[in-house]
Amino acid sequence: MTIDLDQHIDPTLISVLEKVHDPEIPVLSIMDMGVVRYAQKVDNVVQIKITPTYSGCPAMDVMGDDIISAFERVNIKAKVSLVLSPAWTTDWITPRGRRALETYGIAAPLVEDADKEGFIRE
Amino acid sequence: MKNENLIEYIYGIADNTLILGQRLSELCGHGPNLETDIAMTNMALDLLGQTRSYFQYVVTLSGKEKTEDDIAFLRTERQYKNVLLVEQPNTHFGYVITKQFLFDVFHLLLLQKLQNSSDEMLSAIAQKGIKEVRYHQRFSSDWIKRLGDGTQESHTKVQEAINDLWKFTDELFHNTKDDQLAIEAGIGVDVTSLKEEYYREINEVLEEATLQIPEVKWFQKGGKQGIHSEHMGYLLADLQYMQRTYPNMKW
Repeated sequence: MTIDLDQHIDPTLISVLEKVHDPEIPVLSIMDMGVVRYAQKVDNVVQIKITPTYSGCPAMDVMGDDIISAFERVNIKAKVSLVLSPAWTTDWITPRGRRALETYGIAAPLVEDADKEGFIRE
Repeated sequence: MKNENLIEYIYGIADNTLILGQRLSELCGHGPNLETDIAMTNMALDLLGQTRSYFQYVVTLSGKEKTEDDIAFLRTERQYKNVLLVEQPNTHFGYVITKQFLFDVFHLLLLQKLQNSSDEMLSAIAQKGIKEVRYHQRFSSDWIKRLGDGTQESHTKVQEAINDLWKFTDELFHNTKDDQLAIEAGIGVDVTSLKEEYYREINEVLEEATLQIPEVKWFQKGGKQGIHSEHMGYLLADLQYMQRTYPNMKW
């Protein structure tokens, strides 16, 4: 499944978002992971929506805090909320993210939509 | 549908994932080999993650008077609405897998219906959960086949677990009064409609695993009304220890 995320993300905010990384895979920015679903400035507050890679992902709280700190460093107030639908898929990892994973020693998924269902593909 | 009834409906789903997640967590570092240990702990994480999504939703429905931790750790035994099946002790590996299998098949059928709920949040949690639970079901089904069609000892042990746990399966298909209200509101799943498909899928796996379907005529129930087996108290003592000993403690 592909989804056009760009229309929900204000391009001027991307440079800040790219400074935030997955705490478990530090080579991967949250933009390259495809977990940022929405980023818009509303009344001088940046509203960010992120989606978990899986339900129990303990890194989501850290990522939320890191996003707020990253914007604080450039004197912008940010609010982060979590969205669940549509559910994240490995398709949303960018080509640059895939290369970063490979270099880091993690095999990037080859098939489309290779989350846990990828384990059980016939 | 009133929020208080919707919250009770959600407990009926989320307490199953919480308590089974807790049971699986007990195995962390105790699995039969590393891969299985990690797989089962990972399934525990999925279930507890789903539980957090449900409980965070309950927090917003209840006007943010409580936190998700209060809901998980500070209710009394009768306020937990999980089915008896998921609170049963791990005993040996045959029991762990059988309990998981008997729940997973139900869980996937439930979420596949719940994703059509008119409640957007429950629908979203279900859509997310399906991707995880489909793997759980495959994992436990494969183990049922491996143990059932394995050695004489593994066959005997897993058959024993199926015979013992079978009496808890019927409760999965009882609608509570809050279930009824949720069904009427277009929010909830009528679990009675899942029964036929459930036993069909279970029987198919058991047959392949050369296991017998037990002839059980009497089924145990009560968990959905908060009337639990003797194992629940011990489980909660473990689960709630930290918050009961150091009230309001935070990480």
